[in-house]
Amino acid sequence: MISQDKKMLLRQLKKLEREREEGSISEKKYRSLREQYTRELETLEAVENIRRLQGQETPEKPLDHWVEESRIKKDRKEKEELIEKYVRTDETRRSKRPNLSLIGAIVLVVAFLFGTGFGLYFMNIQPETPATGTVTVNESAFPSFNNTVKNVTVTSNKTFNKANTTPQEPSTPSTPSTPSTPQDNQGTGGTGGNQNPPSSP
Amino acid sequence: MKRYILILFMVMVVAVSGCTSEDSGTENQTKTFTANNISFEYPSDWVTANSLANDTVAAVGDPSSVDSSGLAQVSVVIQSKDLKGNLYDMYRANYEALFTNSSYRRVSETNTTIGGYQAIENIYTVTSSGTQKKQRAIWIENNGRVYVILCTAPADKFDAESRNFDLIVRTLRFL
Repeated sequence: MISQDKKMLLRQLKKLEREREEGSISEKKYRSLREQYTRELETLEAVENIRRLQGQETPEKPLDHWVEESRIKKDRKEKEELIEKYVRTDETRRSKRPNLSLIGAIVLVVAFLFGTGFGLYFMNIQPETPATGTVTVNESAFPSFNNTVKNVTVTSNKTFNKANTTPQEPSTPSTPSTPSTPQDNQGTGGTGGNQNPPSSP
Repeated sequence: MKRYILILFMVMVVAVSGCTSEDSGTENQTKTFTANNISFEYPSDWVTANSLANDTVAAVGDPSSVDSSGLAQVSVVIQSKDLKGNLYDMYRANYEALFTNSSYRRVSETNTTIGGYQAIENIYTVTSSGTQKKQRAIWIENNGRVYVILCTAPADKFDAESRNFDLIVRTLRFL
């Protein structure tokens, strides 16, 4: 603001000088106006010097401005504190809620590892090493065993001659032999055997 | 409440997805046999085998199944013979003779397709020295020859080995 006024005064002073050279203004009026402009210019320069000494580059604001600004800042701070204390926004809710997606991912990884371990445990996997060497087999689709049926000879003590067609003549029974005379050491038999006299004493 | 159920569901899905399958783990580990104009894949823990049988073109076995006599009890032997007549006649003649032996008992017999080839599959049991083995014989005709894939395992372990047998049968190629 001061710099603009100063420029304007300087412009007016130049204009005054020009008008005097042209003779369009009286000497009296020239002196009067010049004195006025110079005084105002000096005043402005004096104010500028004082402010420079006070360290105020910018023009000073009224006290009400600063009071109002302080009040607005205080209100805003109180409002923020109340919001933070009593109002749960989506953001605060999100920040306090556990991260379900992360927990879900961890659970899935653990479940996968558990399943794999479970499967491996029941499979009882042993390291597969390719077998080497040879074995011997004795299997054939055309076995060379003897297919002939064994001849079983049945022998029997009995002989059957029914196959012979010609009947044999029955043999003549032989005459019974006459019984031999029994030998008796006690004496000859015969009738009246008991008639032998007893021996004398 | 609804959210928690959703989270629980997600956890269960992830846990189940972590359970790796044993099937996919072992099926990927295979070795390849290529010789005698045939090729197939077999389990990586099996080895090639010396077969005592005639007409063998390939033999692989599980070394962990070797018994006290030094023979592998779990094995796959592929035998080949010149085709005489047709496949069905040779097949029939073989098994008519085979099943006259009382130690052999037929389990099942089916027509099937293996790698685009018509095949006959015969499953039977063999009892030898007090132990019962189960065998699966698959007869295939190729280029004037009969190939028989004979899969053998102890009867009580046969079902457990089916996956390995299927791997070999499924990947068999004639070169």
